Amino acid sequence: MTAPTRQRADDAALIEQSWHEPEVFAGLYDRHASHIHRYVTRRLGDGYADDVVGETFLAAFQRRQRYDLARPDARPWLYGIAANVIGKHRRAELRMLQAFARTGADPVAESYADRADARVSAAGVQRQLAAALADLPAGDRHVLLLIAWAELSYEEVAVALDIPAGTVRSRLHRARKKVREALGGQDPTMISEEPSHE
Amino acid sequence: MNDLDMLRAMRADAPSPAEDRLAAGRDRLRAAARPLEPGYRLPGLARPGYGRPAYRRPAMILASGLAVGALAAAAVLVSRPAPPAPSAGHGRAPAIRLVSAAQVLDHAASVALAKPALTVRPHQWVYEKGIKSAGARSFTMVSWSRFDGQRTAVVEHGKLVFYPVTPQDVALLATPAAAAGFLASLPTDPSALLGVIYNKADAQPRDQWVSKNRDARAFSFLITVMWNAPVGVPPEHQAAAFRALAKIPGITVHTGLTDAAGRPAIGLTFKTGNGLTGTFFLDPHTYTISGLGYHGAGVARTATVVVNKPGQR
Repeated sequence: MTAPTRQRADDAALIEQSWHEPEVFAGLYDRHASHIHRYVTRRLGDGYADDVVGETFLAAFQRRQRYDLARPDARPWLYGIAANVIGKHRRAELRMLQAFARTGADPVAESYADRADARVSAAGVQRQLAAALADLPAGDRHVLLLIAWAELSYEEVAVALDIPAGTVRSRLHRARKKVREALGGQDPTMISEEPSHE
Repeated sequence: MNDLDMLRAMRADAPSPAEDRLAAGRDRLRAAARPLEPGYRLPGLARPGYGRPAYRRPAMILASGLAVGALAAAAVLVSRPAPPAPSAGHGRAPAIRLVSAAQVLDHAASVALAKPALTVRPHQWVYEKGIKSAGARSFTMVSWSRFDGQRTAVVEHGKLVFYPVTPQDVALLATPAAAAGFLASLPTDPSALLGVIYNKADAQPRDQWVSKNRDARAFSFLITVMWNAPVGVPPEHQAAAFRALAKIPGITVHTGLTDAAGRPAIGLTFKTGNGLTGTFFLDPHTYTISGLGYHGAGVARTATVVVNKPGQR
């Protein structure tokens, strides 16, 4: 994705302008679709991402008059809408997580990478993570993954899911506790694993 | 490495999309956002309804995103240089405020009752001409809707083009027949009628609410259905609908306004505490609903004629 280099109005200004000039809304897509696409790919796999992103932005467009213009950054709002759309595929997401947990082969990772790529090597810990994610209530899973994968702050997650910040904290606490339990009480720091980025 | 870091490593190799993967989504969005170009055709849409180039009725008004989505999806046939800036009532001080909304609506009910009932046969078509304005731009829209709700027609590139009516259009009471049929099915006692409307407004999925305010949702619902039914509503049901509106708290009346077509109009506005505003306009002579306004944009109907064939005006 090419980085916008010119001076840019913040998202709120762009959305406000789109109230009267709807086509301006495409600018929001250019800014954020790529990140949301990657997040959706990570949750549901390559096959879902195009449609989920398309549906997310259409829904956002249709709700643009309700955007809170006091928020210059639209990412939390967009991720919240994306969470709703992802939620429609909850059963597929659970099925894939459970398959990963059971077999060690991750259908999501296979959807975007070469099958021949030996993924089972890193799967020991990740199988347990997948099992834990599958066991979480949907709302807790959203909170955990918006923080871990979408890199939103607590405040941003609160905006995205339209819940109080305190609820974000309690859900995150609960979710992390389950994840740690699923990791079997072993000291996670002792497990060597090779993260492929960051 | 703590649990969160381990989670961050999971599927961390998920790729960012190549540009071509994003193109289809952008096209879908542009199609929804840009139906205002004359004759604009949608690129292959995954689902019908989005930005369909027909004179879409608003699914809901009152400054809702949904409504504007639907109105933006309202199509349009002829674009023309902006006429004198339309005023949709929003952001403009009322010139005079002489009467109560209840008085105005009661008068509208009496006028409706005094008119003869107009029967529309199922195979007849409702020709509508309207103007949509947003900011400095203004567009003329024409459409024909078969009264039995089977098809609508618009003009594209000088030719009549037909679109099927989708089940969603009917479910949203967005065809003249569906909206008129719904209004005609309601009790003629205004309080009982309003009870049905509140139930309808409560039954809407939460993510489609135009407002957390229940009165705002009822107002929006009722006005939208009335707007969607320009013909075919028996006079006593029209009157009941106006009198039911008068019972919704929070409606104010503003005179001396103009609708989106620039015609003098009486505005009836619902404003909630969180700044949502919706206005509908009554023609000061006929007391029929001449337009809707929200957030400085608006739509007005300049002609409604029952004809025997699409294309007739």
